[in-house]
Amino acid sequence: MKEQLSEEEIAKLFKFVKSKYVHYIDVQYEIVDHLASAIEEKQIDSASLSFDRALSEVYGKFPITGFAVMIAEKSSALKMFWVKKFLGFMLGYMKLPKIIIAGFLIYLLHLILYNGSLISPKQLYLTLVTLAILSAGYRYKYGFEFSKEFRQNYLVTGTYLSFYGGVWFFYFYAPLNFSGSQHLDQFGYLQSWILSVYLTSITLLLHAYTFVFPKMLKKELLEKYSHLNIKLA
Amino acid sequence: MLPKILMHIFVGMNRSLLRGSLETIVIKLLSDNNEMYGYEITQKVKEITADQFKITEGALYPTLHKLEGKGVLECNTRSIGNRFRKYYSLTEAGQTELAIMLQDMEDYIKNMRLIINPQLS
Repeated sequence: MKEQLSEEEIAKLFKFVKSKYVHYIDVQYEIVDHLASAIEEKQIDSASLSFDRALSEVYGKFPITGFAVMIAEKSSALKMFWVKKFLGFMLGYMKLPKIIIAGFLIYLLHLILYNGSLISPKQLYLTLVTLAILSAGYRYKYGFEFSKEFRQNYLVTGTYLSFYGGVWFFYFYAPLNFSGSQHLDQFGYLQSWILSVYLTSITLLLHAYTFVFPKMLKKELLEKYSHLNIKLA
Repeated sequence: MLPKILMHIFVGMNRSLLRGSLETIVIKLLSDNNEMYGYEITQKVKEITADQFKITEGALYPTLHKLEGKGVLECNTRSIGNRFRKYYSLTEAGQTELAIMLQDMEDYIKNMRLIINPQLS
């Protein structure tokens, strides 16, 4: 049976890892376990080996850049993970049954833009902007993306926010682009179809960004990072 | 001086060969052992190869994270006494990836043998 390091030694390891510029708490946990396992192994082989000496030997096996490469790789892996989730969500609307919802939305928007059915294109633009503002307000109140803590302290939430933060830009870009290029009264047949597809994607993203993606993150945190006790609203 | 240079070249070559095979090694070990943690993987490789292959931490963790990002591996964290440990295991996509990787590796070894020892072919 292997001897485990004491609480104090584990605390020392956290301090050491932090001193090596690992600021993300989730990454610190992973590195501390690795260092602790290696130190325990060394101390079993040589009982007289001190904790500090063993730590220095174990750390010596890391490259000259310390933990930097590890953080960079973990960061790009997490970004790739979120991109995959995002693509999975969007591709879901290209398959049954969700494609029916997407198709209906595209058709409805086409009717509005081409014929001015139900509401005028100007009213549609105002509705989209209102929805985007409501979404921002909702997320500001119930979300977590404006929190510095989640951006800076955890790599898992930091990468989520940096990726989905980029998506946010398109909510406003599309309607702005839409309003800038037209007088908001009439659109050509083809133009209205293209805009309908574009605006449908934006609307679906707005929904996902407000309700779906935060749930996805919460699930991820619960399944893989429950030890960190990250409390999202 | 010369033996030192030769030694360096040899060790360098060995490392680059190992680095190129790291993903296959990790996936195969996880397939055989169901789930493992980072340090355990480094030790297992040392044990199997009688200290011939030494995977450094600087190479292992980036590989694990890369495979995790690709969806080949998944992980879960559990408490072990006074700290937490992250265990890696293969996903379904990882099982498929393993079969492809092993086939690629076998073909590679076979072809390398043909090049190194043409008289055996």
